[in-house]
Amino acid sequence: MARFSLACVIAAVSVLSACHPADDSKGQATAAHSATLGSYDLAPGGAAGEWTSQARDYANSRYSSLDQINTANVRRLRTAWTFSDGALYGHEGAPLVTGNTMYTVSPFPDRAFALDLTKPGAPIKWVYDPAPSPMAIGKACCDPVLRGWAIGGGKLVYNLLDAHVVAVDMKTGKELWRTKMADVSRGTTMTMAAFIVGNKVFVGNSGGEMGVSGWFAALDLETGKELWRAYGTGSDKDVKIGPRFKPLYPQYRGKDLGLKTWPAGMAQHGAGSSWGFVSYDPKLNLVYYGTSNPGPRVPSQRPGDNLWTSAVFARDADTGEAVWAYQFTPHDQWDYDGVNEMMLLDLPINGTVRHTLVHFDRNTYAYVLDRATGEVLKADTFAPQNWSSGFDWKTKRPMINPAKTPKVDEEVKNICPPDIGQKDWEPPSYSPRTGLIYAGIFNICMDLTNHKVSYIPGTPYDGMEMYRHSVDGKDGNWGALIAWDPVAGKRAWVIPEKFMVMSGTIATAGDLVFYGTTDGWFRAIDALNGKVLWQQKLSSGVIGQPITYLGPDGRQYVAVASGVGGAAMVQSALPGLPARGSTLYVFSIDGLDVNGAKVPATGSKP
Amino acid sequence: MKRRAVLAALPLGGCAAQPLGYMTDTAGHAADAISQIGWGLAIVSIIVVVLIAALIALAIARGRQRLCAEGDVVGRDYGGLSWIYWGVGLSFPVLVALAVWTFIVTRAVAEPPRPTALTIEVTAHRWWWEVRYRGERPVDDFVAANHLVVPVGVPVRLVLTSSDVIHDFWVPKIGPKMDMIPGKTNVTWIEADRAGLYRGQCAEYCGLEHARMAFTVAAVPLVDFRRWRMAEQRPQDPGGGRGATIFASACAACHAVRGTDAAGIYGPDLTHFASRPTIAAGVLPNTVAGRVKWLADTQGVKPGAAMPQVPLDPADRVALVQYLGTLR
Amino acid sequence: MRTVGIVAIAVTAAAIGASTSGWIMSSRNDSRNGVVPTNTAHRGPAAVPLGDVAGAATFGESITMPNPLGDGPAAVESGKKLFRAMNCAGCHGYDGGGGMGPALNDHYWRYGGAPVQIYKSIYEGRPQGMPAWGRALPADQLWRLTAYVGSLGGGVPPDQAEAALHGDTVGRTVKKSQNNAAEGGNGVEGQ
Repeated sequence: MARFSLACVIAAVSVLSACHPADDSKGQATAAHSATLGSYDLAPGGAAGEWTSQARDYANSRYSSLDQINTANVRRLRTAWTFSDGALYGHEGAPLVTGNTMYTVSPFPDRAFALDLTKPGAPIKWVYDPAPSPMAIGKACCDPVLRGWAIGGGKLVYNLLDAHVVAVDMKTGKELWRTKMADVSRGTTMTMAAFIVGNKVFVGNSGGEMGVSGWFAALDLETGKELWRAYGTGSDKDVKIGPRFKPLYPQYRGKDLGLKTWPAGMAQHGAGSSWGFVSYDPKLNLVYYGTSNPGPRVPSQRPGDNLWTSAVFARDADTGEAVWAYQFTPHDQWDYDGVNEMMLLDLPINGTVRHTLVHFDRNTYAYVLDRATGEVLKADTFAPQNWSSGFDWKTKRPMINPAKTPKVDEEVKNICPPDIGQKDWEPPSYSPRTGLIYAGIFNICMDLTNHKVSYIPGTPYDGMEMYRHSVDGKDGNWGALIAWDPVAGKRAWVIPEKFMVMSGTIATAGDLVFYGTTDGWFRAIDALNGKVLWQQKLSSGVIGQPITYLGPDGRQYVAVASGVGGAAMVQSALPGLPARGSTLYVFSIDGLDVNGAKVPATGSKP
Repeated sequence: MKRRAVLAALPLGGCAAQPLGYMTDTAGHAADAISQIGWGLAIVSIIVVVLIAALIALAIARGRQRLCAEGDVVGRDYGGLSWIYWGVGLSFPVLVALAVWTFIVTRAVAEPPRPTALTIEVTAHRWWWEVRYRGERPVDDFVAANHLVVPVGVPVRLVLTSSDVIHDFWVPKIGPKMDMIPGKTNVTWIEADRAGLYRGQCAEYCGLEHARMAFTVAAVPLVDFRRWRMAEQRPQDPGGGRGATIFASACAACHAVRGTDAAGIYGPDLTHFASRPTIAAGVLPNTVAGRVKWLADTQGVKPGAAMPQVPLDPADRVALVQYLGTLR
Repeated sequence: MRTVGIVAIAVTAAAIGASTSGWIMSSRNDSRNGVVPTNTAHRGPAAVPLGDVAGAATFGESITMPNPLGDGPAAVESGKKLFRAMNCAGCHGYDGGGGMGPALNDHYWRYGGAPVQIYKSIYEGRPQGMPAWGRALPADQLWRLTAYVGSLGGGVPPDQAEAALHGDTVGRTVKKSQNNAAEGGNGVEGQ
């Protein structure tokens, strides 16, 4: 397994060039903004010109070593071709490219498409229609979306909104297996991107607002059979906490804490679902993922720490046993899910290189944890917040500001961040050239009134009545893109945005970072200083994840889906929020297609 | 327990003893003290009334004589001032003594004689009582309704509030009254000296069914209390019969039964419902006949109650009543 | 003479008092009324008579039927309590602005916005996740919910129900209200 090492980078002396195809040993960028660079494990490796998983690699770096498109020529980026998948819900997943075929899945009704990249316009090779149950539409809290899909063993594997997992033959589009994971009529849906490691598929459920019982499971890639399932609340047996679980901190020592930190009978509807991205460390053989908020979203109904919600788990990939866990927001009172991505980076912290897990939580703390033990190394706020008065390093818990705790039937104004945090599931990227992490964030607060709720199966177990607004008042900005130095624990620079930045970002060796805004602008910025070098308005807002790949012509393309939706719809009242859309855009320099032809302008001969 | 069964069989309108029985038959320290001072004040008042009545009668009689006998002789002082000196001189110490006695009783009633060992939170709704027992850890908490169980001889702290209008918590034979005010938390205590089943009553007019808003307090030996608490903490069997299914669709939106999927908070928690003496906050005895009557004619039994007349055919009702009977 | 006068006044006062109380008692809302329209009392294989527009007629009742409880503040207030207690607010928003479920305060109604059509949607549930409440809530409570939903600013008055069904209405330019339900966006109209 190749290791992107610091030494290799320093040894290479080449100057940035637009003409050479991708080369893994690139020269060090000039004027890097982080004095100390980190690195990450490139596993599972794979061709630089392909994009074979949502996050690019097990470490979730979302970094591409392609540099054909770079700061010098990105101004010439134009649309090469577009593709509409016909579904109008929020488009949150990243297309995957392998073997000169692009695989993309629409949001509900979760249709999968294989596009032939060898032909101009990338015509459809096959379409797979799983016919999921429409009942799922009314059980999905945050739009009937799909946050990604996975390929492995010749199969395209993804979750259906109605809590099934399907595997489709990549060549023919035929369904190979379909596994039912839960009963959607009781409020469980599945929206996360399935994650494949070797012969296993890792999936988790959604439904933190529906009083579900949250879980994370592994299926066999060949047959779809369930290998193990670990719950987010409940007894140690359910949570798969056993002899291998070695908690560093006293609050995690004890038996059946997933039951004891809840009033009787409430842990089973306490959520702790797993709807975010998964990362994997092949050396430790651990998968990392986060759990959702506790249910109901009215904290006075569930006194106690509410383990193991709003937490991160490190589990053995083969058996599912928990090795360590850390709860970001004990007794979460604001819906601060812990599901945001866990980037596995090796960073120099206080002089030694540590194998860390970097996580931008909904509660606005950017955590750096040791990914072998769960030790908290850093916790710095990355965005405006007022719910916490600081991080208590003695107890390793955030300190709570009592003025910003919610009240039943009484409005508390200006709690920052709101339930969706200042950063939601939108995944950041890391550039080993600059040492910076690029993340789309928000700039919002909420006025919150809680209402006590009953658990009625299939209905929300929620209770939060919220009015969200910008931190900066009525006409203030709702979002930003930040470049974060994980070693220093502070922002390097920020690009304020009028609307939320809910797209994923990618960083490339061309020293570019690509991201999109919810009002539909797709931008390329300089990875070093944040200068906007190119942008294009797309047909709808961007809440998905861009990718970059090499076509069969050896040309570098950048692709992103437009189609606003998801949690970005909290901006419904803002003028300028686009209508829904369904179009995938693929860009290249000068808009050249696979035959080297430009996309014909309207009116010209075909 | 036999006594409880006997008491459960009677509608609590008369509560096994005559009305106002709490004036002579108290079973708690606070109630004893209040009852004593009540009688003390009553007796003193009666004596005073009798005395004054006698004096007034005397004065009238003497006055009439006087009027008839004399013409316009200038009246002379018949020593009326000495009456005033006597009156004040006798009354003042008595009043002071009564005041001191009142302060002592109020003080005694305000705080428990020993630190309380148990906390129960009671939230009043129109027109039922939500009872929450707090344990050491969150998982030891549980919710019941309309029925409290307390150990004999142990002071119990009561944390009282209301979810809508002002109600009042009153168990006449055991302790004092305390208002339950929405948005405010009042704290009081009770301690029962004798085992038994006592009736509590809402003592602040709260709407149409104020008169039918009663509850029961069972005082049992400590050992029995512990056993009861452990039983209450256990979840019910999920069940799968027809009654359970009907409950899940027709009742679970408002009621909760821990251990099943029913977790509604709008109405009283029905976990271990069959172990309570009454239905609907003291309106009907918790027997098969009582349950059938309640389900068949909810609004007739307690017009205006938040529970609607749930449409059920008789066969379904029978199955549901049977299921409710299994919720021990 | 004086005695007779006193007695006469007393008797008159008693009569007035009794009749007033009687009037108050009798005009108290009888919670047992409220028609139950349903399309499930079908006869034969098809629930909707041939030639009828699906979702239009309820079997035996017209879609122009008004809410039997009226739309006064009592019905709306109790409907609001039910709307929150039954978790309707969790999907449709605390102001009816939508979220996981469609907005109820606008003029797009996939299954009809007249009172009897809203009643049926609540009673029967709908395919995209709306639960069926007919088993859990009696007719009276469903009508109260219908009254509350009608009071949110959207909906279709019963006398305009036929016109709305055939598209003979004026469209509206609406400023979307801020979504205040769970993170989800408004439903996608027309899908």
